[in-house]
Amino acid sequence: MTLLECRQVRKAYGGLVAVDDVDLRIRAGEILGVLGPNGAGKSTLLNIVAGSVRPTAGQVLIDGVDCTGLQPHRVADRGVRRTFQVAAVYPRLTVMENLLVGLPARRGESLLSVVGSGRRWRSQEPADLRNARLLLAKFGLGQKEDLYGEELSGGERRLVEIMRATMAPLRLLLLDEPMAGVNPRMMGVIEDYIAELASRGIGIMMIEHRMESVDRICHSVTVMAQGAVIASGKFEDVRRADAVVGAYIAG
Amino acid sequence: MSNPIIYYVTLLAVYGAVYAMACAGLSLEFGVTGVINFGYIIFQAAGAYTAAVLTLGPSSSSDFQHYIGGARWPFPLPLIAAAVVGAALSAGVAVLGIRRLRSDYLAIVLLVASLIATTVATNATRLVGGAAGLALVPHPLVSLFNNNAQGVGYNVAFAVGAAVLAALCLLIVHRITESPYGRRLRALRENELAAEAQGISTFRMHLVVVMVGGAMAGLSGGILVQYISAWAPSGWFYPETFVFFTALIVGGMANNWGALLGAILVPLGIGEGVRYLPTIGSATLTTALQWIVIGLLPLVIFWFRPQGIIPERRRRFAGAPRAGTPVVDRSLVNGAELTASSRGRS
Repeated sequence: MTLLECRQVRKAYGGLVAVDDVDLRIRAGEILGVLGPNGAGKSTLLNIVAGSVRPTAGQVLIDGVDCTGLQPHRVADRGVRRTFQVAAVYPRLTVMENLLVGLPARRGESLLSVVGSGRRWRSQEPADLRNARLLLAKFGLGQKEDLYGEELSGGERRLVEIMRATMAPLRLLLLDEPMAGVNPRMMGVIEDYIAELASRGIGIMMIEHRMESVDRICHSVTVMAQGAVIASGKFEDVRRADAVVGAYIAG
Repeated sequence: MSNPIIYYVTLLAVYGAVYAMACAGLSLEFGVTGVINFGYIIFQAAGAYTAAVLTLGPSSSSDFQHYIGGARWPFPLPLIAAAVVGAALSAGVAVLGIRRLRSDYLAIVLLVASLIATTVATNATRLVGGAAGLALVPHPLVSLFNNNAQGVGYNVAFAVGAAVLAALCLLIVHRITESPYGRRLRALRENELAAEAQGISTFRMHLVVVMVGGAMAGLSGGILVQYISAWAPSGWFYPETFVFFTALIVGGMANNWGALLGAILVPLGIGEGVRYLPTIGSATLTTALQWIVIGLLPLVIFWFRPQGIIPERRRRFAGAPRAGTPVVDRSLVNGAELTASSRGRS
């Protein structure tokens, strides 16, 4: 089943074409690596899917529904979560609060119910804390739940951001360089976790420069250069294609 | 206690309650959510005019003061109307401003709006009494006290009532701040882009928050005007907003106790404190000093204690694993468990 489909997506800033008629598909359970040199338009494409950049032309379909130009929080409501190129943890929220914010709003969390009585959300909280602690333990951050986001290292922020994204009932996960700034041992944990998410049927789009990680977990890759897709398919086939080699060398 | 002292204490209590109410609302807007509402005083003034006009009765051409929409509503309707008008006006500003503007530009727009509002109120003499403002605003429920608004009983009762309403405002802000709703507001304050990516609507949350804050500002204005019986543009000129900001910065932001402490220290403490200074040089020097102190205070605080006297609390959750606790077996983490609690969204 196709989770995400980009049809002829285009973004132009004046004369500069950042994303040039890109077609792309991600099925449930598929990990798609998006590769390409700096300035290839990868992050812009991710921003278009996430709703933070409005495309000049083309369509973005999520679960077959046209979501082109939807606001980011509306896209998120459809079970889409993203991470940012520079890890966007909340600096003055604790690690635990960072994770809990990832949960969608539920009954008992509206303004009127929290002012009227805290009973409902308080009854939900223990289960949320338990789930969050399991996640934290998995990434070795079990002792750090009371630290502020700003007190974490760059790599830890990256982990918290990924964990936060997976607190919600997830359909599609958009990762912008999840391995950047993470220590090598933790990279393996992240790779395993991404693969595990995919095995649960979550579709994943992953912008990544680290080829070992792409090789290990991505089912397929799309290579972009100067806004356009120049190759796509299995990583081992694509990496040898002349166009790809040329794009990386030419920068 | 002799009567004059009782009067003074009740006066301080009423002013303190009014400031605490306004600071509670602004703390929710600015401290918790990060909305820089530099026009906050407009909403207090709107509440004051509303409560005044709705108790003064219809304005007639022979009156010394003119205003529109006069009525004689019974207590507590004028106060409720004051809160509603504060909220509605805030909603209007939010719809016009928040959707389109980045928060720093919104701050500038609100500051300008505050200037425009006092100019209009001053010059449109038939709107809310012009520069002279409105006077002889009746006191609520004074008939229960033999129509003696100057009596000890009435003043004490008024102070207690105001204090209860202030406590209620602080309780509402507390409940919001400590809940998952408040957590989302704080997330918005920290990083709007990230919060939106988690499904949080900046516009909707900001709209709700400025309405709650505006209602508290309006209510505080309504109570104040019913106590002092008069209201004029000179009392809500734009710098008054910064008195509340200074109160929050000094007391501590995103923290109810900080808001309360700030309300007591800054508008009440400084405002009343300068009265006890001996007159040096010209008679207006102490009033001028007051503004200099209020202007310098945030600077001093930012320099020496940027988090305020009572800083925002780090929120710890019960049952956190302590050092030495065994790490949970990874096989326990499965999809069903991770998503089970996330269902049933509203």
